[in-house]
Amino acid sequence: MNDLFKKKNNKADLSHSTRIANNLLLKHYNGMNRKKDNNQPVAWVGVDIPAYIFRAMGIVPVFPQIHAAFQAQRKAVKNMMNDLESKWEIPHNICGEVKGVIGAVLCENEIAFNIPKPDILITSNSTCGQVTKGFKFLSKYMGVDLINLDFPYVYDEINEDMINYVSDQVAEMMDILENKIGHKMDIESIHDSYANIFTFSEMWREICEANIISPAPVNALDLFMFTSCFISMDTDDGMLNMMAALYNDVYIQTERNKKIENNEKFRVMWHYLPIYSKKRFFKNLFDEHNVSLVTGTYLAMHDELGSAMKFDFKYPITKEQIENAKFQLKYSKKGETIDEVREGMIRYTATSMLNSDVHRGVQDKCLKIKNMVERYNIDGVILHNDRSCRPQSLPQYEIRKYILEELGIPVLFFDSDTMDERYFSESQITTRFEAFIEKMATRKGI
Amino acid sequence: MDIKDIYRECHRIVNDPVNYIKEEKVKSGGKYIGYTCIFPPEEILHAAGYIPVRIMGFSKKNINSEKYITSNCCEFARSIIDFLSSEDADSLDGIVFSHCCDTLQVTACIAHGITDKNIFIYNIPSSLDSQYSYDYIKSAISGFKSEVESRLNIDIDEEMLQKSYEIYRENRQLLSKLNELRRNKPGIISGYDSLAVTIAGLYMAKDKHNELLKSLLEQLSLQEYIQTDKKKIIVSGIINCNLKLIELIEESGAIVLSDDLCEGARTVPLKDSGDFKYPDAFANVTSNLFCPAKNYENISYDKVLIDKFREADCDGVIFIYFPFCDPQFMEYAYVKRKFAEEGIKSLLVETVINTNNFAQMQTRVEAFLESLYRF
Repeated sequence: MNDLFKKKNNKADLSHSTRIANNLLLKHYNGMNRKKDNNQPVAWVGVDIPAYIFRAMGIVPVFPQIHAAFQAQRKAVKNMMNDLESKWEIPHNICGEVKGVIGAVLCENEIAFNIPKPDILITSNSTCGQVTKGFKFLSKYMGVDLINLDFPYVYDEINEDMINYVSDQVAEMMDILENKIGHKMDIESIHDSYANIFTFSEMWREICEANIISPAPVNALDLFMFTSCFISMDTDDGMLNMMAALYNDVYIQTERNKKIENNEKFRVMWHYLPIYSKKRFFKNLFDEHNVSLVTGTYLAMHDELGSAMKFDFKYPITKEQIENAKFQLKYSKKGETIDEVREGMIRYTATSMLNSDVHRGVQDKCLKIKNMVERYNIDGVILHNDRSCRPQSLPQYEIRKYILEELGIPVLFFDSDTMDERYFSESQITTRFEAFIEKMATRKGI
Repeated sequence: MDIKDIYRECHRIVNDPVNYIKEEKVKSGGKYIGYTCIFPPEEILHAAGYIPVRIMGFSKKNINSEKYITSNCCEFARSIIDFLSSEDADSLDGIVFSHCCDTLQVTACIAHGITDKNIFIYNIPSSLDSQYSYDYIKSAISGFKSEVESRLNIDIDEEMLQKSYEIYRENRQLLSKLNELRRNKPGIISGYDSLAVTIAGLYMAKDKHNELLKSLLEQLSLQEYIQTDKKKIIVSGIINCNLKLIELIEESGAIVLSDDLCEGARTVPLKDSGDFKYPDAFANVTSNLFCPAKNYENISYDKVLIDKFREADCDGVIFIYFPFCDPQFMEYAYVKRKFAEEGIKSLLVETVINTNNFAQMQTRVEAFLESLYRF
């Protein structure tokens, strides 16, 4: 038998691509300080604002919320939370991620990476209002200017007034940043950024969709970990190489799974953010019950990015394929003037940010889950009620009701916190998970 | 009405606003629409022939909110859901949600599953004084007016709007005068009574409230004034009609001279909105209302509060917040620090709606006031 088919486990071993991602991250964070030393401006940026804008301007973007996610994986995060609550009277129920952002400044000894101090802060409320307030706090505390992009909440449909309102602000932000760097943004860099982001999002889409087949070749919990990388570095060439390695790892397992016995009993999806520090616990729980976590709403970022072109990547993805994809995208933009490209970038940024899942009504969230349930043939949905995230957690009962009544599949509902593991109880989750398995089994008649 | 009757009537309304609305409906046959925070342009509803009333934590019996929203939710939003899911909501013909904070936006989204009443959204931006927000607010006002017209099947012309605008503008001016009087003659009216007068106006027809305010101001101007040596307090946050909190502070030996409350002084814009012009005059009101849940480029919570504190020559500040009120708590850490830098003493009180448990709170308030008297 070919080596390819020797392994019995039906989940991909992502150690190779994870190693590349870790090295990339280390290089990325270390490189930030070097760039700062070389007088490149540093912007601390809200997680919903795309990195490609900054790359096109030669500005170093630092995403403190992503940094907070790395902190969440460190034990020291508990000390940080305690300090913020006791010394600063920031209540325990405020968003853990925002506390991580503020904590990186107020409790410097707890930081995960040595991130350079900002020359400017940029935030938006397209995820939530707490992030904006957190950045405002930092702006006042650190004495650093803040650009705050205001996104109207999308209760129903996005309309032209909303797009114009947001586009005006994005354009103003670009003017401010161009003044800061002392020159207009480079058209070639914009083309490169566009090409990279679309190439990357296309590869990501194909990786995520590999799990449509059964048995799913990759544990979606592993994929969550990669999202931290690509928000920070979505236009980095190294990211495309890392994404290619991930694609290849997943492809190999997909082929293996065609040849091995399918012991996948249940296919579940995760709504909203994972609990970073409990990845091992959940992996064990899933493996023990032959459950595949196949997807999650947080992974479907390619839907928001809306790539202009579809590629059909072939295994193994090589540098040539990546360059070819980038070339096609760059070529499609070649005839445009700098003003047209700039205008297109502003509108694309405004629209994709308005499309942010967090910033839309309950109905939109339910429809997104319905599409995923149908597409990935889901048996049950895990609803993580992230207690400190109001926009995502408060409508969870409505979402639960919709899944149970309209989609007719079981739900595992539990309270916890993405950052703060003081709100997590392994024994309670285990009991509820077992009941969830029972319900899925009854429904499937097994 | 003499002054005592005015206070008595206002406290009666504040103690049970739903009962008052029901009584008034029987008396006058008026139609009522509820709204959830300081921003909705009430004038548009008024011009459409409705009496806009503020929805707060009326419902004292129901705990239906636990069915609809997760427990990590602020008391205010829960009380709105409790009210909407109760029979008390029958007194209203519709509800207006204004875009305020993450929690209220979710409440607005799930409201359709709680009530079959007309639900309107006044979707204003989160930043209220930026270069681009003014035009967006104007488009939100036009959108809101169109929605009211089509859903309530009525045409609102400019004359109707102007008439309503003048009534509401006069109300804001009268409330400003009352607040000015409170500041200039400490003790001439207690915080407990003046807030009752202000909050009662959220449930009364505005022309009726204007007459009440005029009568009160006239009687107060004729009243003999005796200077007080009590410590002067400003309160900030939301009390959700629970005037017992204010009563407690004043019974402990202070006077609540000024406020920055969601149902108090925050209902009055920081600047006069000017003569009628549609939709600009309404946009002027919205963009000059200050709420810590919003973001501003030119003003901030700490600046607004310190200005109010200085203007009233207060001695201390008491923050009254509900648990899970993210925007206020996110601002609080910095505001508290600023007050401390200015040498101003502050106390944070976390409370819940309709509480009668004041024992611990009283001890804390008394200790705080003692510290003010000592230094």
